Amino acid sequence: MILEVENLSYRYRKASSPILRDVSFQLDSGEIMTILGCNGAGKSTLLNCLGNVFEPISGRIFLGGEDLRTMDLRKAARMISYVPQNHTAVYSYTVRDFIVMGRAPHLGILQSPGEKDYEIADQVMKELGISRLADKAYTEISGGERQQALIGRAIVQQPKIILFDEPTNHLDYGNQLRMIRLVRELAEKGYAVLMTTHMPDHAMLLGGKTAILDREGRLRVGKAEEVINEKTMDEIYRIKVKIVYVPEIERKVCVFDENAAVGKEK
Amino acid sequence: MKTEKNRGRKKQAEYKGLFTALLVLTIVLVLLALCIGQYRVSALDVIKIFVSRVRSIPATWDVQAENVVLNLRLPRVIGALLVGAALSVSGSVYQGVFKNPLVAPDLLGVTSGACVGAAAAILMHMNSWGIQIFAFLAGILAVSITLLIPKLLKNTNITMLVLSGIIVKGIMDSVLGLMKYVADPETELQSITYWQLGSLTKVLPSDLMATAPVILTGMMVILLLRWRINILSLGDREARSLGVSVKKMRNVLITCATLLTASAVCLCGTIGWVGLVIPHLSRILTGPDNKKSVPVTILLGASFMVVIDTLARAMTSMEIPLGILTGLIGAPFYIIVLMRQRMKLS
Repeated sequence: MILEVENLSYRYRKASSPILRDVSFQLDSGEIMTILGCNGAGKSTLLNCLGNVFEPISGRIFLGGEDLRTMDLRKAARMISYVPQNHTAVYSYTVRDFIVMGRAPHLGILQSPGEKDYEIADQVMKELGISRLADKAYTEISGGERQQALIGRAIVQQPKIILFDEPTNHLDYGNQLRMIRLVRELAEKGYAVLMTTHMPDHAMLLGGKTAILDREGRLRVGKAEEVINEKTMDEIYRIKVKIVYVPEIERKVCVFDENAAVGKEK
Repeated sequence: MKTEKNRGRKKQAEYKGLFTALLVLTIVLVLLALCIGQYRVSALDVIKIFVSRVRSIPATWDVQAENVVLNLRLPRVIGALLVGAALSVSGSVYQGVFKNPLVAPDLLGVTSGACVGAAAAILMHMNSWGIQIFAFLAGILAVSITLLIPKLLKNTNITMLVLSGIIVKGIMDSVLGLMKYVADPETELQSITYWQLGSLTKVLPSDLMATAPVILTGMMVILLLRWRINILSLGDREARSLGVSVKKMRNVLITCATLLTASAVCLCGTIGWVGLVIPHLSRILTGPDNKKSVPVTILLGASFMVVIDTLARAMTSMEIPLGILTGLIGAPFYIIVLMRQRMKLS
């Protein structure tokens, strides 16, 4: 197992109640896990704990069998990389310069990137089809392009695990599907991918593991088709949905069921 | 792929060209600064005087010229190089570490603090060594308070640190005002005012021996860590997820930048604008990547200060304080910088 989480709990302030309670799951290389949960449930918090940004109050995280708590920061950054939801920079670094920053955990403290590191960055930009952005300023490209640059930086880090925080959030309809495909491709290349999303249908589209973070901060993990059903969706989002099989696309989809809600009110 | 590689190489070559041009410019400016003044020395004579130090050649120049170049002008020029480079590079560091392009070395209150130290030493009738040590200690003290306030408030937010710097600067400026008020207007007040306006007139070789090693060491550390400033400028979380121990890295960089500022104040008093304007100018030339902009900042800052100091002593028969000149040149320039930034943003 490349990622093992055991009884992880987290709270923001000492007095407050925990936002994550006894979260446990495992993820192997090439696997995808989609995390669903309402706004404020703690999805991003969980990613921040895994990304070594927040320190959990209890529980453990193992990266490749090694405890994250005792792990060197640079070593951890070589194992796991994080694509935040929306990030802006103060300085207008070129996309190339921005992406090459992903090499930091592979370089000594006093080193700066050399020709090889820039080659890695160029290669990744080519694979993502964003070579045309290389000399553009990171602060002047669109939100979607900025996300591509962030993904590029995450790949340049050459990690084993990639965390995505709501990667489809600011994307148009077409780009959402392209993002889903990219996540799938990354998993096929052998990365363990963990992503949060607000779209149950995205989880069903991706298959793999799906986790539901409920309002108490507990995580339920299972296969997408098992975990996503009318009952669990009602629990987390407090709305009615229908899971229906669409023969034309040969899969189940998750759609709103407004009639049911209206019916209930009557 | 090949075109990308070539483009990368071309950019690298462009940068090397710029760096070399600036290096040549700095050397030419130093030579000119040694020639220009009330007592004019030809460039050829200046070169000959230097050559004569390492190899015996027939002396075709005045003994007076040798004295002026080596004993009067050279320490000043070296002082200007060091001060310009130190203030500019510390500006670069603060701007990067605080993620704020409008920040300058006086932000942390070091400049004001060092000035208070100098004034206190003057009031206690200490010699130039005493003044230097006091300026240095007070500068460090000011920064420590600036760093302590956010800790006491348990708010380690970066804006809190900036606010804390403004508070400390306010206090230090008031203390300085008080000292000027009680100072003897005949002698002490003049010295304090002189210090406050900034000048390299009184730089002695012994002053350089004391401050140069500190400035050079601090600058070396910053040069080695300069690429990491890029990462810090992305924000704490980003930097941490890239494997950078943010606190340690930030503390090392702030300490170095503060040492540089304090040492510069020790040499020449307070000189504003340089630490704010020069980093901007280098970013216009190289782009924001600190890997390229920090070395350019050092050269630009050093040559800018040499020009300013030469103007200060040669423009009129009377010395013009440096702080006045940097203000007159730096402040309007800053408007241009802001206009450029606005144009870029919109």
